Amino acid sequence: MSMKLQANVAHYLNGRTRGPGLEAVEGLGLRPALMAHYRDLSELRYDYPLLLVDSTDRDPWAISLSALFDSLTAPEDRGEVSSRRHTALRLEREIRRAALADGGGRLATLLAEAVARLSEGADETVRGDLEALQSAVQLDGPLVDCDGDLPGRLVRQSWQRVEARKAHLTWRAIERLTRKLSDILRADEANSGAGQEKDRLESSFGNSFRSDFDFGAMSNLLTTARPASTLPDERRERIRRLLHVLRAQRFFATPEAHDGTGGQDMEPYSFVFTSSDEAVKAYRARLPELSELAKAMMMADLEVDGAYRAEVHDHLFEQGIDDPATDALGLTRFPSYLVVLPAGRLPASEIGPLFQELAAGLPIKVLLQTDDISGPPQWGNGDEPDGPDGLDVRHVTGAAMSLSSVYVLQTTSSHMYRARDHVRRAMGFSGPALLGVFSGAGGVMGDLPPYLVAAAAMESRVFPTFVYDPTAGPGWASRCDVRDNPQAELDWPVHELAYEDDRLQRHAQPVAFTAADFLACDARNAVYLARVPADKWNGGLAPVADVVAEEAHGMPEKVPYLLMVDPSGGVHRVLASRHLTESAREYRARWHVVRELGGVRNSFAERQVAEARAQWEAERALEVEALPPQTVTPTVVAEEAADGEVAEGVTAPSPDEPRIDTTRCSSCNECILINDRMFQYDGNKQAFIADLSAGTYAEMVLAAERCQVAVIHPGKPINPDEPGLEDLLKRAEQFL
Amino acid sequence: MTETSTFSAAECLLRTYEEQHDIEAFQKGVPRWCDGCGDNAILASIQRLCRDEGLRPEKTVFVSGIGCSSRLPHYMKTYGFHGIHGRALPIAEGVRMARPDLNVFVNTGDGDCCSIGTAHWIHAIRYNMNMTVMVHDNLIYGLTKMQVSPTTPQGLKTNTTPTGAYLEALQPLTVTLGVQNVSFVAQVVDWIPEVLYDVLLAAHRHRGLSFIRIVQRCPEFLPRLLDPWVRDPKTVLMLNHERGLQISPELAGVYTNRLEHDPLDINRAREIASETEVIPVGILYHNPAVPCYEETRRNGQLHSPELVGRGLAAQMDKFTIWPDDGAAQDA
Repeated sequence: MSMKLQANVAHYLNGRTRGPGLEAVEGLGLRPALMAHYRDLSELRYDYPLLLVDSTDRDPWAISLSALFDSLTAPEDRGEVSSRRHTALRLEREIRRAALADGGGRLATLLAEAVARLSEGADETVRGDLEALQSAVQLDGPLVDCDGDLPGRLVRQSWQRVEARKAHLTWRAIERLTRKLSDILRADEANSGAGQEKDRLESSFGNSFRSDFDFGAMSNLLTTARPASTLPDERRERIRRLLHVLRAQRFFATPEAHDGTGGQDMEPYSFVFTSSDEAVKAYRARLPELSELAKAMMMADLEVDGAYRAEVHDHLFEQGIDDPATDALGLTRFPSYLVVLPAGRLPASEIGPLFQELAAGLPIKVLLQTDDISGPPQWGNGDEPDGPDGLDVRHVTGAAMSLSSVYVLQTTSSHMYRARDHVRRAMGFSGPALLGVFSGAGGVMGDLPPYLVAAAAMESRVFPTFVYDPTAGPGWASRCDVRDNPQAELDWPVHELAYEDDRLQRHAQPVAFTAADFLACDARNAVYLARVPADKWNGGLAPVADVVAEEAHGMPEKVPYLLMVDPSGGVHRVLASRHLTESAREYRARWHVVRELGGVRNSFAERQVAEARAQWEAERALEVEALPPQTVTPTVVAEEAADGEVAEGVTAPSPDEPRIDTTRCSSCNECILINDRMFQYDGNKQAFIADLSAGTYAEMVLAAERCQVAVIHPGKPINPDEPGLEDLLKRAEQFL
Repeated sequence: MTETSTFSAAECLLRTYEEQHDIEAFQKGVPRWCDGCGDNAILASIQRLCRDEGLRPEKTVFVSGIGCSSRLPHYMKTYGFHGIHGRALPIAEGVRMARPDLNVFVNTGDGDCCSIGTAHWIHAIRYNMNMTVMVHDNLIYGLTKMQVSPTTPQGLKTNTTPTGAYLEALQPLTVTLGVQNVSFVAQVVDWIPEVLYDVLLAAHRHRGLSFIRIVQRCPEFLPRLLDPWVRDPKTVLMLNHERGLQISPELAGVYTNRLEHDPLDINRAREIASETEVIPVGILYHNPAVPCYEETRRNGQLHSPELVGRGLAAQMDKFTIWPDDGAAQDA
């Protein structure tokens, strides 16, 4: 082995050893080659900053600055580079710059300032466009960048939206029930003796004709002539008790409390916590009160509907029904608990309470955020082992998925805007939800902004995004969705890298963005990298993606390298040591697991399909062999029974037997009026012969003649001695 | 909110114990219709429907206008409103708006609905409010002793047309099917009670205005007029479809003249409704997607006395003259 190859191999094996011809990367400002174009984010149009819309009752609840400005000029102005479109883009860039420089601000303020700056020295057309654009922006709220605060703010905004909607509906139900119950009591009171006293009657009358009436006489008349019909004491007491519970609830703020125009006697509960242990304690402490409220709403519903039956429902409410506060309806009706845990690994003290809550299906929404996932790799592992200091976010989300009834979303802050519908669904989900988010704001990636760090983590499969929705279907493939990951069917996303060589000739080659590329951005991993000068590039080097794709059996045939660029755009090959390469291999294996769970290239499914196809083909082959030559399949034609034919299995009635086609009876009363013991109605008020001996054959024939729809058949007489039979039999002939 | 289940076992359990009523619970008094009148068959089917659907008498209201048919609310032990001539539908609409929790039925006749009440009929179809409308069409004014009605066949002699009805009869089905927002149209005859019941059931379950024309015999004034159709099952065209009515095997053995008709096909429904040789029986048109007026107008606000008071005050203020250019108003 030559000396230069020896140096490469030694670095690969040890990382820290840099032999002749290899250079340290510290201080070079290198970053993965595919990130060469992303230097100044303020010059780019992308998903941030993000507007968190103030209003709680209108959509959208969050919108990117780019989408907002697109909506102002779309669609007629987008197709061509119009003046207004050009001005809109300038205005958007101006706002983005200011927001990124100042760490956010309110849109209305930033917009006004940007319009003022751009209007200076501008011509009439541009000023007109700026004014029109400013007045077209109907939304306001804080503009937030993709930083460490974003996950918490976005989740809180979505949760507040969902809870506000829930509170609105439930509060309306409570208000309606309260009013209806009060009406019952008021009507009862008005009907009572006190309600019909002279003064009360007088005060309920208008001024104009008050003197024309003698309210004393009217009171006497009402109290003596009308029967008393007041509520039973038991019901009145029950209604009062229900009203007390409904009015004393603390789970929803009344609209008056919201407006500041009035308030509840007791401060409404808070549902935001920073510890799952605190949240579960609060939930359990409030549960009896919540159950009482839920039961009161159900009782009140029955009461106002007039359907409450004390002899049945009292017992059911005391012991016979499931707790309505915790059933499916209760979970969608009452508040959920939001837990925003401090960023970092899940502390050991939180692991137990959190998983108990999730497994118990409590209505809890947990945000677990991490800012740093790229630390120095450990031996044979992609990241730090879980130790006494807690669990990595990815392990928590993975474990939560196995509980099967928890809504799980794992994503990065760079992708949160795109995943906002998943965030909203998680907040609206009736059971527990867990959100694991990597913010990229750990400050360990040199000059890379958090947005790029987070995007790189997702792109490199180090922190893939996925959602597990228990309501999305019966199996993993339908519940687990990984399609938001770029090029999910591949091990790594592959993009074309275009560059020019020393002779200014353009080159382009596909480059995979691997986990090693992401880890190489972390200054703490610089020791595992070594730059190979261009004159030392040789055939013994291979991209990390190619090396990782090989089976790991000892020493690879070629030493892995990464393509990186310096601040001036120069492309470098940087050796990645075994530590980074093995980490990339580990992340690739984990990605395969996640991908399979999401039904992308699911090996089990593919195997099942192959087996089923083989079995089907074998069965078909057997069927074809079994067919005699030139067999014609007979066609079975279902034909309706001919008119008048009696269907098989149905016995035709005897013409001698008196009968009524009861199902055709039109309830016209004719036969009943003739003899209501012989003919009677059944439960559907249709006639049948109840007692043949209760009447004469003459009555039977008369009924047949009067029957409006001719469904009475007199048959033969049961009394052969009845007078006038000969004539009666002749009249009956047409009805037999 | 997610699309997760909101099933509450507790709520279902509580409602399980709702009071059940037998058919007698809906019967009141002895009907004073003529012997053999087709109204008896309609009344029996309605009472059966109320029992089978578990309707609560205090949550059910029958509204009628004037005529033989309009006596029906008197014989139902529910709420009832025997209205004025031709105005059954606007009264029912008012009931529906004020009390959306009630089951609303309308019983009207060919004179009540198709003559003096025609304007209300057309607009009730267009409003599509959730109610079941039964037009008892006996082709004559029976209560006032045999005067011509809008549906009286041309040439029929009546007390007001002694030489025969001058005009071609109005066809309630084709008119109804020509109105925008129509959502349910059916035709039945009183002498096939099984189908009458089935159509009533489908109509009651339909969310919107269900219009049922019930061709009905008048044994007092037109005793033989419908005999050809009553006596010969082939003159009845049974409409059958998986989305419409599916007649029983027993009935299928009698009524062999059947037609497979998709109730969503309004053009075909109009053609069928125009038939004169046979009487089509079944559901001609059924579109559950048509919105109900009362639901589109609901603003979600609780109709509290305060809200009504504010609304009234606002209306009154329009006619108030404020001194000092509104200073008092501002105060």
